[in-house]
Amino acid sequence: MNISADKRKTDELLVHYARIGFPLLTLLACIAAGMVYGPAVGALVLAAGAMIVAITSFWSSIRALFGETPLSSEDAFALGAPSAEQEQKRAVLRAIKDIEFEHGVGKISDEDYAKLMATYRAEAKRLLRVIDRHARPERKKVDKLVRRHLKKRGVSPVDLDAEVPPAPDDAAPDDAAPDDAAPDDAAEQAAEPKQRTAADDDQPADDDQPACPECDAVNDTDALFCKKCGAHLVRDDEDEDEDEDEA
Amino acid sequence: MWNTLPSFGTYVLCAILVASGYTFAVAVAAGGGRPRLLKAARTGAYGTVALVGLAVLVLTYAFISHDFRLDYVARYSDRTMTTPWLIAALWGGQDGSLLWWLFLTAFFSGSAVWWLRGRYRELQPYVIATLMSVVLFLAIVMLFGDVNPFRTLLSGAPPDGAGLNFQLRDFYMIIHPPSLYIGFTSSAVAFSFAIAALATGRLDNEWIIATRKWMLFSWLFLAIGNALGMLWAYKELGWGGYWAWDPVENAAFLPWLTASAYVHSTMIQERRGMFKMWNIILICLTFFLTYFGTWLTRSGLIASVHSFAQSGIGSFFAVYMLVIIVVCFAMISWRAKMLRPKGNIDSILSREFAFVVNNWILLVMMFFIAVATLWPRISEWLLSQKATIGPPFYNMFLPPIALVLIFFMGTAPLLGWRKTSKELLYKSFRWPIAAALAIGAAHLMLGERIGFPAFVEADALYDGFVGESLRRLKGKLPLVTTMLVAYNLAVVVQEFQRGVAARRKKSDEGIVTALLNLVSKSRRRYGGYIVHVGIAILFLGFAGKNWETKTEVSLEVGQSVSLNEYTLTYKGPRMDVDHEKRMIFAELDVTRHGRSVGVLGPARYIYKASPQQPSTEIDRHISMRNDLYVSIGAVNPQSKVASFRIFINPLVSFVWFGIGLLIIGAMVCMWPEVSFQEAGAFAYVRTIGSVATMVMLSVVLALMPSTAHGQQHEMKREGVVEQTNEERALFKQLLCYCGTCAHEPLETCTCGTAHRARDEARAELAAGKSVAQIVSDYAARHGSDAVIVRATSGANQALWAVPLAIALVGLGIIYRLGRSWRSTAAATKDDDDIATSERDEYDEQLDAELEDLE
Repeated sequence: MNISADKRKTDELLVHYARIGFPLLTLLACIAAGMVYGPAVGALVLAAGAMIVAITSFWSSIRALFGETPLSSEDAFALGAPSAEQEQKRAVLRAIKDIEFEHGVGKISDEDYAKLMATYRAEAKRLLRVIDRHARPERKKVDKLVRRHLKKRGVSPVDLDAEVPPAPDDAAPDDAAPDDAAPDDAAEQAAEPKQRTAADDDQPADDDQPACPECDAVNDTDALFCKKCGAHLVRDDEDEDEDEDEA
Repeated sequence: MWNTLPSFGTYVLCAILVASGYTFAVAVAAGGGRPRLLKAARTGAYGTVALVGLAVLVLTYAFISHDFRLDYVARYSDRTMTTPWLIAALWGGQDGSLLWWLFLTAFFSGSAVWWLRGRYRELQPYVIATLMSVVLFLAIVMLFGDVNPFRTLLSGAPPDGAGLNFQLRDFYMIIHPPSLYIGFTSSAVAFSFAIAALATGRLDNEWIIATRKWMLFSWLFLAIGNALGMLWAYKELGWGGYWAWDPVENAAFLPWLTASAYVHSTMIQERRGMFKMWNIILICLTFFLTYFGTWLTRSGLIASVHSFAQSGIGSFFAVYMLVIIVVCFAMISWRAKMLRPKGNIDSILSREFAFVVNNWILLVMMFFIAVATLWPRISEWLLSQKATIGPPFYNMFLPPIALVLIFFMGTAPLLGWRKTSKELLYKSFRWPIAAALAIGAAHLMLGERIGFPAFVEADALYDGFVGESLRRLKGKLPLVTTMLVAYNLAVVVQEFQRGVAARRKKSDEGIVTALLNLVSKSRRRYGGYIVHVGIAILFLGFAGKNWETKTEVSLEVGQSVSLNEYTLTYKGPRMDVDHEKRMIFAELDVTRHGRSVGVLGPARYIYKASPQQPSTEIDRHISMRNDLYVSIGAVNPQSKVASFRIFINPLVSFVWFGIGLLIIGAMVCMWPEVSFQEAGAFAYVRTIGSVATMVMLSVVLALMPSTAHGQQHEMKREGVVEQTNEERALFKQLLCYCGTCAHEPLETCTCGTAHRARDEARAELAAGKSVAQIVSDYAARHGSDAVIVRATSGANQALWAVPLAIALVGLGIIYRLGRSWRSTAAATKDDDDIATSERDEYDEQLDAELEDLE
């Protein structure tokens, strides 16, 4: 697994540099050919470059289609788009800013300003509450995963509280919460073995296997009860499903 | 036959067809939420873009290497052309310009896909699918619509090509079509977001925020493209004006109007959650109009100076437009419930209501122009008579509508969102209204003395009550324009002043720092104000047309002619030769107010390739107040007598200056976020540098010397002929019948036929015939489409009555909406009071987020 991971890393690095290097190289070759053999040949060199880009793009597109290339974590997050509430919140925040500005330049009377602000702030708070409620189970889950992971590495929960900022802070600004939760969702949705290994790069191997809320034992993905203490395991997933539906 | 370049080009087009089809299918499949497919669709889109790039490069290679086996290369280039012209020839004709259109669409698709990485993931698949469907359509047209630029000549390769039309060999030709095409094609991105929003049901502000800058970009390039077209016409065509209401100009203007409506109504959705459906409709309409315009001009349906050869692509475009309408209509109906507004307009004295009115006027203008542009066909189908509208129709009807728009352009910023109280209304409006009244009074008193009278005598073009009312109204418009321009400028100055004052009240910033911070903190608002100033100044430039003077004159060497403050003395002809043409200049010494201001040298070019079609280059003396614009008719080689057309065009510089400001304003709106705190001094340098570059660019564009060609026939005249008012009114109604131009009015047409026709008409006038009689005789001689449409009589009244009816229906809808808004606003009024609540932990979070938003 290590070898293939290394190879993949090299591949990724290669692709990364080729993305910048290849167009530059083609352009330089075009200029050089144009100066030596005339503009017609310069155009041909550019055309050759375009053809190579077209061929490689389709090659990689078809490989991706048939699952031959690993999915990067960014691609796997594809479903973690901000929720409708977050969009609304952004609009309401902008509206509040705007009202403040208009009041500042004297286009809204003090009385109207107070009334408008109260309405918009109440709306913004309502949205914040909704977002918060949606994010709570995810946060719990993330918090638990982090704790367990660190525990494995030998960091005590006390250190954890001191070093790592608590999850709610992460979730507060903008769209962080659903994005944090996304790897699990995405990996579960596209439940193919190869993809799983892709996601593994970013997370420990047992991340998507539910941990028992009672005894922290790691269980199989589809387990309904903890294999160690017999506690009910389903609740987190159920919450998650509900949240997804709402989002 | 892979071994030959022409077939290779065609195969690349086939590959584009397959590739875009593949990407479309994968993208639609990715809409089910499968990241793997999305990745495949993204790379597929990049591949398709690369293939389109390859097709363009193959054609470029064919042009540069003079591969005359290709029909298109043989028709639009020859061996004498240099590389830059060979590249410009890519979009010189029908086939190549469609390929160029395809390339730009693909390029913007690629840019949008790249820009989308990591964002709007749910919308992405449908955005890509929509963009690819557009590429797919264009590939189908190119392959099966007989406009394949890689088509070979049946007769084999000729030794040399026909060469690019000399009229097209102009600096503006290199940049004018591409910038218009950029505007047209980039609107596909905004459209694809609208379709994606409809498909996913994510119809909140997400897609609006995503499309905002794309739409503004498209709007800006449509404006730049149109402006360059105006400059081109002004310098190239030699008739002394810049906008002729040609169908192609109209086609480019229509989407600009709907895009302008969109950039305003989008703000209502962002702020108030209303007009969701309207915004979707506007985006779809803008996209539709870009194809409508292309269809109009490329199918040979409507005659235009931008004539593309008639071709079979009209039916393809017609089907595609039908598909657009059906898809948009179906999707909007499907999501109609989700598109219901969340808020209400509380008061007529609110900014959202001003925006509604502004949208209404923009749409009315759009309908007006669209109906008039299509009228020649409608008239032929329904009334079985050939008809030509001519610029006078637009110039009569549109300025009053546009001035109402200008009034609301100034009024909207003065109103607050939701409602404006009476005291604030007085506070906001007093200075702008005072400024308008003061300038109006000054204009009334001093206008006559400085040569810009407040009222002018307009030409009577139409009879009847409507014609007479329009004539009277048009005569008053100069005063109304100056007042509205003053009103708008005062509004913007007041807005800046209020903003700076508010900032300085909060913190002890200096005026300049406060101004810079103000603009950088709300770029969209203040960029928009700069655009408003640009448009106000543009209208001042348009108003200059009311005070123009023109004359035709024939001079012997040493003779002088005086026109207003100018005296022109003919010094004699001078000849120059270069490798492709002979140039005959007729030099004129110009004095202004008795002081010499230089020498003007309008010229005739006689190309070796086409000596029977000499062209004429105009020359100008530019001042802030006037353009002295001289074009040459003919020079007699024996007697050296030369004939000239001389125009004094007041305030033309304001048109270019206004466009420059409009561009700067739009750039300010689109400028990406720059954090001054993080970037430090460098950010200031960058911002100032970019603004300076834009200013310089617009100045360079306005003043760039360029060759102009266009007049083709002999014009000889003895002595000075000044047009009387009667003649001017007559020449506006008679159209050139030469068959090569697109029925231009005799007033502006510069060809020999028009020249003869003018002389005949003058003779008839002198013989005592009435204008109406001459017009009807002219129509009998040269056909009903050789005179402008009598828009105020018979079935032709539909020309203005139909748009007017649509406008009234719109007004009725606005009125009804206004009433229902008011009643619901009254009903929900009490809710506002309940909204106040105790301060809690969420208030802290809210404050922190508001802080971050700055």
